[in-house]
Amino acid sequence: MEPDAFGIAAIGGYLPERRLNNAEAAKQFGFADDFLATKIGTAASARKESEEESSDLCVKAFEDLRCIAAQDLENLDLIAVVTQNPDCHGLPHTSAIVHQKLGLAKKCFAFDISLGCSGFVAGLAIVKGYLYATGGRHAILFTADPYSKVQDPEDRNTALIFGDGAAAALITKTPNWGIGPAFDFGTEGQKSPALRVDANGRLAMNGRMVFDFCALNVPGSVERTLAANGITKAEVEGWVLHPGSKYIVDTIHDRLKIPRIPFPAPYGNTVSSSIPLILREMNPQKQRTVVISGFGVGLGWATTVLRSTA
Amino acid sequence: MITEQDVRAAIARARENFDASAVPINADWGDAGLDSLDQASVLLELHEATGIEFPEDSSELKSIRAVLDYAQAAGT
Repeated sequence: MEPDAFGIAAIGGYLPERRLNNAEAAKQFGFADDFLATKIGTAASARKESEEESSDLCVKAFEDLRCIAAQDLENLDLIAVVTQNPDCHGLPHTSAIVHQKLGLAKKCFAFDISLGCSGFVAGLAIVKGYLYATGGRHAILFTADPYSKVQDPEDRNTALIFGDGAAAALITKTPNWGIGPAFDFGTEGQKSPALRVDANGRLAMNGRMVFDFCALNVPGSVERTLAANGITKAEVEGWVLHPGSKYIVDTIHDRLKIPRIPFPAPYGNTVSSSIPLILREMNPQKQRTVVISGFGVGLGWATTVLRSTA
Repeated sequence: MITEQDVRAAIARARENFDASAVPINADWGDAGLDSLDQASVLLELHEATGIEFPEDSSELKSIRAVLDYAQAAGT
């Protein structure tokens, strides 16, 4: 099966320079000395400055994209921002603020996508669908979901896991990576309370429920995606499974019976930005077939494959 | 039916290079050198093997004994 005409032409990224050293916090929480290295994978979490908004992170990712994209970024038909930590409590939508900050043309529509860790993969399907429906040619899919806005530094369940970051993926008909075409999606809405912002505005997570959800659902989603796209595991040259934590990535690799890899996000779980930030460091000419799977908030998952067009 | 040996075997699979046989049956996971992710792996494996649904809040399942007692009360 051939990938769809629309694909990823380039990815820009932004990680704040500031880092929080997690070692001291891990000690205070009473975790074993090797807990960060063997279970979490994040020794130092990326942290935005307090005055930086989600739209600012998007703008910085756009600036990075502009440095590496081979084409003009002024003629956009759409920008979409995946976030659940928007500017201004979500009204106006963050994508409209990004549109203003970038000085984009009126014909460029803008909307937000309220998804967490599955958001980048799901966003690829949504953006492709929009471009087909409207006859558009160029779009940017932004991801920026800084959990530091809602994270409780005293919460041992979440304090060591998340990092701030953003990405900007240019979607065109002249891509380096073709998308899919087949996706695999799913939601277990009855488990949505397992990862939420509580009444006090603080992130709360039932780690065991999230772990069970991922371990039980993601391997099957990957297998279905491979079969639907006519690809075997042996043909896959890159596995980008959302780095929620080292332990969950290792668990899913084990269940898929594929070799473990070094934890790819030592700056923390950047939610919907985690997959594009990893892809940004990959070479489509060397890792020609890549599985991407995002899973978490919802609880939901989204999986597809990318194939090099070179 | 979940046995003590089943739980110890699940611990051994969850945690490489760890002597699951040395964990006192009444010891808290933390005191035995196991963390919440190890516990999650053990409970998931037991769930997959037996079908038993462990509670969403597993904080009361503090030890091998607590897991066995829960499983027995649940009728497995």
